[in-house]
Amino acid sequence: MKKVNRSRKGLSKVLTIALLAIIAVAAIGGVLYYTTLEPEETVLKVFCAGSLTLPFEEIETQFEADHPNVDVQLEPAGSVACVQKITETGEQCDVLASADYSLIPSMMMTTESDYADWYIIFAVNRMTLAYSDSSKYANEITADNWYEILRKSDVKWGFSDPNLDPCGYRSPMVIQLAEFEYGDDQIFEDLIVANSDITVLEEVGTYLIDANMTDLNPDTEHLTIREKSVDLISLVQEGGLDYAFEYSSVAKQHGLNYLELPVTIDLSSADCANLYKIVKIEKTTTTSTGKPIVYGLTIPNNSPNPELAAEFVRYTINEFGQTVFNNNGQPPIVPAIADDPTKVSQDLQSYVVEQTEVSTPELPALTLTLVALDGTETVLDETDIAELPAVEYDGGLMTSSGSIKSIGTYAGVPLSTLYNMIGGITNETTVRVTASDDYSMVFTYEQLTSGEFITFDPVTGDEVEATKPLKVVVAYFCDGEALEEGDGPLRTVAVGEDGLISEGHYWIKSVVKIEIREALQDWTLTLNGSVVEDVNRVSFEMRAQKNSANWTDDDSQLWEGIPLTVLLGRVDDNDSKTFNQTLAEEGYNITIIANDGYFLELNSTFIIENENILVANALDAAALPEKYWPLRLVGSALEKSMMIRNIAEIRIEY
Amino acid sequence: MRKLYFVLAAFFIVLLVSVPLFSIFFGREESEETRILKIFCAGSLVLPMNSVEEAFEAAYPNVDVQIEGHGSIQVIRHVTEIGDEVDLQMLADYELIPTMMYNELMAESNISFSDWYIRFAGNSIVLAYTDNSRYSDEVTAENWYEILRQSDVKFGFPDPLIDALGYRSPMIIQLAENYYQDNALFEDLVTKNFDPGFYAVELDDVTVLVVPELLNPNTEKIALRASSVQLVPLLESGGIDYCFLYKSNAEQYGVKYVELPFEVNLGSSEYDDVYQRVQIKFEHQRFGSVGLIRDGKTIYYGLTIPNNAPNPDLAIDMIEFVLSGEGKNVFNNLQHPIYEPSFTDNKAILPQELAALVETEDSD
Repeated sequence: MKKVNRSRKGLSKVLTIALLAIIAVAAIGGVLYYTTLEPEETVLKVFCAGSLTLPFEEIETQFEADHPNVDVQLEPAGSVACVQKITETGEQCDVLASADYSLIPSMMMTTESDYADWYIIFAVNRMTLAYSDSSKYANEITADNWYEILRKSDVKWGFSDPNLDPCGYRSPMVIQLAEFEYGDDQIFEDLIVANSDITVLEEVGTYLIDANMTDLNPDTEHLTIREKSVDLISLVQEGGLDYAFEYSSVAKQHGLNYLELPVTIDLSSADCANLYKIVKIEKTTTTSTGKPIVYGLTIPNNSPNPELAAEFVRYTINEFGQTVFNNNGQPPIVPAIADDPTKVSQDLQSYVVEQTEVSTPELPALTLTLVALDGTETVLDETDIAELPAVEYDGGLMTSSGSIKSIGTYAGVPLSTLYNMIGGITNETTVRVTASDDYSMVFTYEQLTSGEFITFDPVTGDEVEATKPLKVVVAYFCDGEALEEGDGPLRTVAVGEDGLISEGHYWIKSVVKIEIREALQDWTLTLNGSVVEDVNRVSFEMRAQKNSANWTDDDSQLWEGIPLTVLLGRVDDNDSKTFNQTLAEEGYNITIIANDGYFLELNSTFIIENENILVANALDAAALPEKYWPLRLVGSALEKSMMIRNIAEIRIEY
Repeated sequence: MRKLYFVLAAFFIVLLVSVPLFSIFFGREESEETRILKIFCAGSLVLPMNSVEEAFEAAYPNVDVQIEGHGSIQVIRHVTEIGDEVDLQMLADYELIPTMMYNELMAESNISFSDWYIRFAGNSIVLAYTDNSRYSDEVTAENWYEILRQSDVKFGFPDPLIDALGYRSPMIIQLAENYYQDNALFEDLVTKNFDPGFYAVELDDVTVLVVPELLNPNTEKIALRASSVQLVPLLESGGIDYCFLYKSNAEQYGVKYVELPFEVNLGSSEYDDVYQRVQIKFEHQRFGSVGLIRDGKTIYYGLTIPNNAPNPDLAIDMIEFVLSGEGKNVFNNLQHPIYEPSFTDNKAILPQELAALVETEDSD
């Protein structure tokens, strides 16, 4: 409450004394009268996290205006320190608000330390990328391409010191989580490892970032690290930095532009707690685990003014409070969520909803085999799967005969999490998912990265376009229950935020294997003789089944393909079915040309004399490795120098 | 001594016969309550079977007919691999019954899943369109393939991996290439519009159409959907101008269509040797249990009662209903004529009520 200074007026001396006496009597009487009949000024003590100071000051002003006899006293401090004042120092407060809501259950709601019975989560903060209008590529940057922009050699960006500032240790976490979100396992490497001494250790499903060093040694050409995230603000404003990782609240309060990142990486959502926790960071002091930046509050059991405290909490979570938090870049949770609404003060119960628990799911026994591109197998069991970050989406399938089935809320592991554990995918690979009965489907890179699926309205069944890309999830729960026996224990589902229906053949039941495979690349071999024929990959492979030839090299590798004579036979004269022996005996020139223009000349008489010369398209039953791809001339009659690779054309000159 | 054996044997026979009779008798007695007749059928039969269901339930008030439509291969796999218990299976390709069921044994009894089929109907493939389709006032049985070639025309067919009509549609285009002697037709309509390519490879007397592992059509030209159920709405909304459909379905949906020549439409067994010159080969093996090759051949629908059907008596009632009863009228009215007579491969073991209705097929 603001103190009022009264000024005194001077009067003539005589009158002054008399008046003073009268005034003094009146004043004393007045004060006595006042204190007897009016309630005493009440002090409402609020312990709050430092980052809540600005919004809480606004709430304080309004609250005091509406409650003239209450003096709200804010005591901002670190969230842990706030709690410890109650649990260790024995101080009393009316409202406790923490930047990490989980401190309330873990430090105040245990049997040894029983200082509260409930908590409410009411606002979040989010990790964002702050920038100014003059930042490079400011007009191009989006939530889909920001990591590509940070990769550019002419872009300078920064974050605060992980060892000194929570925003600083959360920044590398965001970058690590981005690898999952965008299906690109080089983001952390390119942005952090290449520009500093920070490293990351990857184990199955978890990432331990190592920032346990006093000098992080950033390459300041690209990356700047400052003590506090606010130190970066002026750098961005003055153009010394293009981008900086900041809390949305800080960016907003300083009037910077900021990019909203997906909730799966911006540490703002309690629903994604299982996802965030796969990232840990080791610092000089402690190791921190990724968790949502969610603000929580409670009224401690020993609050001196619990009813007024409830009124203050009401101001914090009602529409007024929501506006205040929005304006401060700390998006409110609407409605606020209580761990147990029945225990919350009576007056607040209509303002909160119940929290749905995010916990490690209990899965039936299962095995899932992941096969990397090089054939390496990783076998996961139910415990491994349960510990992987889970997502949850609504969806259902349409059968080929048009009926809509299996509508529900599906929980499970994104397929991307699984293939990223074994090397990730590129536009030259695909993912094959196989069921226990050998049913399989192949997902394309485009489907998996852009979520392009045909979708239908769940009510009308009409084909509609999704507004948000679909995700392929290896689901284990439907509506919170383990999948039915015939469907589970794991099933791929194509689902998304729109809750639309997708085509049933991608909903593979009883998934047992996920493989990354080379996408078949098309190529053409031009045969140029008396006629010209283009032989594509498919027709070459089919002809190779009919007219196969093979050769085993000194390393016991088996090369398979088509005899050169068969290919020559297709264009040596007008009969494509046979090789013209007579013509070949007369002698003509054969030029075998690689795709880089390198060539080899042979005479047809040499081909007749040496039978085992073939154009190989397979090595040990797989497509040729890139070095030789797509075709290589091999055979026992050839010197190694004659074994021309990357063949694109075979030409006959008579 | 021999007499004793005889008596014992007779006793056992009586026992064996009477137990099921007994249970059927009492089963009937008790079950004034509804019994369920579960039918899995090919997607192209869903429309007529829904009408048959109504008629059947009117005639058999205690029976609840439940119909599920699937791709024909899935109709079989649901029984042989997924473990669903089904009373009647009806497929758009009767040959799947002998190839996928006769040698497949049930785990507990070591009896095969089926050992007979009835070939009860045919079909042919047409090109469907609406009044709003581009060139709808020009399209004929002679020029349809030139119309599909027009750069502003979009057409659709089901995904070859998912649906029999899906792999039959590219066959139709290759058969048209052969019939009209238009050597670039398949390339222009199909190969060019897929990346990776969907190639036709000529091998001796057969043209093999190789369905790439990844079907990635140029969506400006071609729409692939799971089945005709999803294609017809696209056709009606103008999302595509033309699509291949079974003639029966085109009639049932009430869309316009062009009938294709017999040499092309897969509807006439007289042209089986023409059809056989085209073959589909899949690069991707979707089902471990099914091969990668599909031969061009006349379309025949087949049905069977799996040996683990919970209610074979109801399935027999339904087959009679479809082959000779009111169900037959339903099919005929919906332009999907039921054969008269239908054919079977194994009349000797057919349930008696059905044997009277079918003939043994020529074994040529």
